[in-house]
Amino acid sequence: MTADLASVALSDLIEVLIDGILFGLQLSLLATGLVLIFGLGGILNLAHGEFVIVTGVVSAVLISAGWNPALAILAAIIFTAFIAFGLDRSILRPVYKLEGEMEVLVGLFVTLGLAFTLEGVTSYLFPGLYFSVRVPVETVNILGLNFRASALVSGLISLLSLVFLLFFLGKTMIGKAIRAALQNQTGSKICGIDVDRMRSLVFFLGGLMAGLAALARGIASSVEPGSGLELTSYALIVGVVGGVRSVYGAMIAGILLGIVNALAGYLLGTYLTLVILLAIVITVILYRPSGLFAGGV
Amino acid sequence: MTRLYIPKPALLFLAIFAVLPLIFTNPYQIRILTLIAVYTSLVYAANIIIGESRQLFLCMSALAGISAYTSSILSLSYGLNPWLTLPAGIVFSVAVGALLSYVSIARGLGEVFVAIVTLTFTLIFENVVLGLRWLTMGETGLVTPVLWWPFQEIVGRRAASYYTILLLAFLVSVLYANLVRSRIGIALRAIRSDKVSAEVVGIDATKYNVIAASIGSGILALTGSFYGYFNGMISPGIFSPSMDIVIILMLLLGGLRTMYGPMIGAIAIIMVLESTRGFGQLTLTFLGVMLVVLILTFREGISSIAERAFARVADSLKKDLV
Repeated sequence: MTADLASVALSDLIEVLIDGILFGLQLSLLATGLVLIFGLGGILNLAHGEFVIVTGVVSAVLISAGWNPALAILAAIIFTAFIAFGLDRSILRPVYKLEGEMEVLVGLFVTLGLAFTLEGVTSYLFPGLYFSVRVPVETVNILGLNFRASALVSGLISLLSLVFLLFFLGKTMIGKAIRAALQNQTGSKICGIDVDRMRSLVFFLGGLMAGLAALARGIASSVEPGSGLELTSYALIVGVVGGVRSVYGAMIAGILLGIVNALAGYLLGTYLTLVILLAIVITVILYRPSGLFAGGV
Repeated sequence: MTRLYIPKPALLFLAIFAVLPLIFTNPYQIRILTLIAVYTSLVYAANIIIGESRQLFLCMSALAGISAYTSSILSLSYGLNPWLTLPAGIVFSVAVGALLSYVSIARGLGEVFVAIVTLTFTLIFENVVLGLRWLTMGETGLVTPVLWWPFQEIVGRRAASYYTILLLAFLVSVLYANLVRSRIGIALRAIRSDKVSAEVVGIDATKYNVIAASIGSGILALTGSFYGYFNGMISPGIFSPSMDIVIILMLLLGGLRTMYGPMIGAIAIIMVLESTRGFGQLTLTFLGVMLVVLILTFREGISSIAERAFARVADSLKKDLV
């Protein structure tokens, strides 16, 4: 009897853990975009969550206009990437001319303003709209454990996106150039890397990652206007814990926080979990300001 | 001991706003006037914390909210007169503000990290209020106990609350004017222009920054509580991050570290907000666009531009005379 109870608790725990990892992959994906842009652009993009919303809103609108869902989502993701790219090329131009702390501060306010602008527009034009992708199968049984199919697919998409990003940054020439620029802007300029172009590219990539994050979230739950700030704060939490300039750090931190989130949710209830996550951020900033996994890109 | 300095335009502000309810008598207009007074006071607090001591607090809404909730909840739970619980709320907020300031200085956080920590704190505050539903009524909001406003028997509750808050805004502006001229203000100016040199001559930067944060938090706390009692209801929606944005917008528009910027900023932005009220969620867009435009083009604010223009005119007049 007691052994039975223990095994039930254990399988519960494994399910919670895997749920946490799957959600963590989503968080990682959300944060990598933010971290990439901060690393090279020096801009702490507070509109990052709104990018996710934009992808969701555009997908939902295109799908309801009769587009093929896959095509609509693809178009929305690319559209979001171009918005991020356009942001770099337009209102952030004057920000780059500033120096050091001032650049980061002004960038912070500009993107905060942009976040409010996008939130206002999306929730005014599309109240009650939400983006959600249905997975045909409800639950999947693996080794006697039950998983929501949607969470698995969403985790898989997140994982594939992260692997793609790692491959791009690690193996391609442009990826290497971006990493060089992330590490040392002056040095890479001397080596003939066009840092300005790399930065635009990084914004594009960041937008792309936000778009993919919208897809992952849309599959696992839903994306709707008005939740942008919440998504930004998730990305910020993960980014800060991972070391705000480290893409790898963000990936590990995302998974870690996903597990913390699932465990806290399982043991303490949902409302306390966000408070715990936020408390972790403050603790990390105070004791390891460069993040838990700082160093490396 | 230096003499109390009462800036004349602050008196003018008080005089004009004291007379306005005689012209704009309907409740909606008086509400707008009250909001202007509330925000003027809040923006002076921001001017002290963000302007004078350069600590980028994005938790001003939370500091105001902590005090409002503390006072209301204590009064409701123990049946106390709200005037008795106001100080408790203020003490709580000041303690939190001072702690946030002290910890970020002690850990040597840059302005951006202070912003992240305090923004995170605001989100924690919001979630705690949402979560402690049995205490705070969560999202629906808490109906505040009834506060006795001075002279409400004579002029009525609405006018009495307005005049009390207006007087607070005036006193806060006087406090700001005197703070800038005081030992604290001079120390803060020295720290701002060169922290290392200031410390070399014996100015304790930590101490003065924490003092500035505490004074600012105190103003936020009292104003937040008054605002809650005036409003009759407090909710996480009122003390949300967008309140911080509104305050920062007013501060930037009026002019950072200026004497009259907070008044100008509060009046202008409240007018804009009220006239765009019909657009619902688009109000957020207006705020956002204004923030972007202001921060990119206009970082010194109306008040200092006006001052410079005035100085230029005065200069050319002088030249003409010579």
